Amino acid sequence: MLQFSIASGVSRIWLCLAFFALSVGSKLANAAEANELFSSYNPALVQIKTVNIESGQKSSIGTGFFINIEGRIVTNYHVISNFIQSPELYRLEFLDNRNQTFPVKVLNIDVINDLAILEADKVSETYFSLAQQAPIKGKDIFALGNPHDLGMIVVPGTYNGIKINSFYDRIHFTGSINPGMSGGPTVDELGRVVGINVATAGNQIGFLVPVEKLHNLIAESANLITDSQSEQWFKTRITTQLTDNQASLYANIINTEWPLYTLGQAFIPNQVSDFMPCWGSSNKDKEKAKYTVASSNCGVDERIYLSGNMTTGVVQMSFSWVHSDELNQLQLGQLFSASLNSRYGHNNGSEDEVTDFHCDQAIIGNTFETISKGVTCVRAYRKYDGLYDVRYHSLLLEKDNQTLIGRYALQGVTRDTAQDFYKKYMENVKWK
Amino acid sequence: MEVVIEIVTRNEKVLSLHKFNGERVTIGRAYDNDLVLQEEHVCPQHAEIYQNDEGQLVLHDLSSINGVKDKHNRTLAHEIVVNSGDVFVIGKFHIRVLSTTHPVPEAKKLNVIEDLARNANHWYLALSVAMIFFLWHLIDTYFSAYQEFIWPKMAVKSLVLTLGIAVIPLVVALAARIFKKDVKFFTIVVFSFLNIMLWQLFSTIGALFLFNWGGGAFVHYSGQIIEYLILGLFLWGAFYLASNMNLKKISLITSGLVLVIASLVYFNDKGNNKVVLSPVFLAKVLPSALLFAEPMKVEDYVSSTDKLFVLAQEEAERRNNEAKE
Repeated sequence: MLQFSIASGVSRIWLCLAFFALSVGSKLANAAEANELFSSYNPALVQIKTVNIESGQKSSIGTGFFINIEGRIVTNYHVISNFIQSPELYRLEFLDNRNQTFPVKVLNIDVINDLAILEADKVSETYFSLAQQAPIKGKDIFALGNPHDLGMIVVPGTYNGIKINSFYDRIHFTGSINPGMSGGPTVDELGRVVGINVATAGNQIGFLVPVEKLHNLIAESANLITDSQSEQWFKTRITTQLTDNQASLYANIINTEWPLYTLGQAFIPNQVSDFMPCWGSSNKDKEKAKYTVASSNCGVDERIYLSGNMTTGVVQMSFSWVHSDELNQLQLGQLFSASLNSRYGHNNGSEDEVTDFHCDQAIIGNTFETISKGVTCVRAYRKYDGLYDVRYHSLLLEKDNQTLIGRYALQGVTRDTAQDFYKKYMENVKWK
Repeated sequence: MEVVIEIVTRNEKVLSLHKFNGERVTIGRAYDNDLVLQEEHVCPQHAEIYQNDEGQLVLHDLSSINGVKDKHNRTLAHEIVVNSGDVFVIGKFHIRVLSTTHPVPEAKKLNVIEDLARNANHWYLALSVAMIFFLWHLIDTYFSAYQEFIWPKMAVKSLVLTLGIAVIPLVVALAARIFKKDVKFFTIVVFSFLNIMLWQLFSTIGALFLFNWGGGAFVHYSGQIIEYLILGLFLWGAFYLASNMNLKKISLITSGLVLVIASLVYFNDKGNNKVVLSPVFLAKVLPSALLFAEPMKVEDYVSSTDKLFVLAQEEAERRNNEAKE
């Protein structure tokens, strides 16, 4: 303050310039600037509403943006999922910047990347152009959205490259994306779309779908017209996308050498893939426990959103080495039984979308002559033909004072994938 | 003339038997009768029985107010020829008139069950089985415990359970009282505890099968059949000890009851068409010394899981069709 008060007029200007140059992180200045910069894009940004026909009330809102003059709009799949799942109960419309409502139809969807292309009978003079390549890491980018009926807002942030240790390509964006901004574009300083807002991990961390996924979806939609898509067409489309996605996800997991790791006196696979991180725990801190348990839990916890009640795509695998010198054999049998039967795996399904689990158990010997008791449970997806949730619980036998409990849960896989995964698993779990 | 008169219940169970010798037998409420029936609907001089010239027994109604009726409550003529074994109603009494030459059935051999039931009816036997059950349960709890095990606490639990089970014989004994069967209380106690221990024994054997061959239809269904058989055995014994029905009738009622219970359980499980979102299975693990099953090869197990996918797919189709309707 003192410095400011004694500075001359000329040096004051210099100081201001120096501060401006240094203020890359000063979001306040940036936001004001950006608002001005992008206010011309305001008409290209709309609010997408899924309206319940019965009550006439909106059931979900999100942001969408025009990408051409003919009224093509891009948003997230999850913004319009109610309509896709039950078109008889909902209708889709959008609200432009003059608060006018227009109906809109769905042209194509991509559930894996949470994208949807819509078409409206409205010419839009202003629209966003799509960037052809990713920005440089560290570059300022701006998330635009239309949350909570407040009109357009701009959230400046930084492009941090593609999220690592993730099977799905997502841009790591440092900036807070609010729920209603879902489906809005994130643009570079020239207003070109580099990604689509999709999720937040709280605390200034947001995720965007890279624009190349949108390029792909646009290319796939070249020969489509909106009136040909029935409810069944979308279901088949989702099924195909899920089937293809699980094939490539599990090819990644199964076709690599699994690094083995020692847990107690058994070998188990550890961190079989970069996108399947592992965490450990044990019950050592419990004083009165008559046995020790050391566990390793690995998983792909990136979920594919299908509807309000159902997500899929989770892979979980966990191992517990249970050991006791204090308990007798029959008591250990009880302990082992309880551990084997205990619940495992996220549900992520709802009563209208899945079947009961069908289970079977057997005594199985692998090629390393490790004998185990295994229980397989399978349930089918009712809307997506040929996809299943599969659980496996197993327990290594033949050592009486210890055992290894191994469990996995695979969501949304085909029978072949599940069985290939099982074979791979059985090759990699054995006594030392 | 020699004649036998039995006073019987409505169901022709004999309450008392009287044998007479002489010209005639008089029946009535007055004390000078041969057979005195003390009931207000009986006249002081109600009826008499004599032998006619052809040697037949005749029941003669002495113009009584309420007359003599047959067992279907039809009023009879004043004089009626009696066939040995006929039942008549005088006032509210049912009487059966028999000649001394009336045939009697062959003697029955004492049935083994009755013999057993009598021999078991001792307080020390009842106490012993209850003690055995208590100890068995306590030891079983010990071998099932993998958390901290506190003996006194567990002993109290087992004791409460033992006393709880002792309520069953009380109920059966009460039923026996109601059905006018002589109550063999200690036999009922012995029987109830033996039944429960039999069930425990079979579940122990079942655990062995579940460990080795669990998941197979054979183990699943034979386990269920054995449980229903034990239930049947218990019901059979309870009916035997609490009622006067003959063995054939008891067997029929028991099988009927077990079938009803089994089908109720079956339809209850099936009727609830809701999707269960978490897997339901029971896998049992025992010490590896008790492993007798031949391990399956991984490839064989993999192809055996095909059927689970087929079952799940079929269920999906069924539910989708139901939803459409």
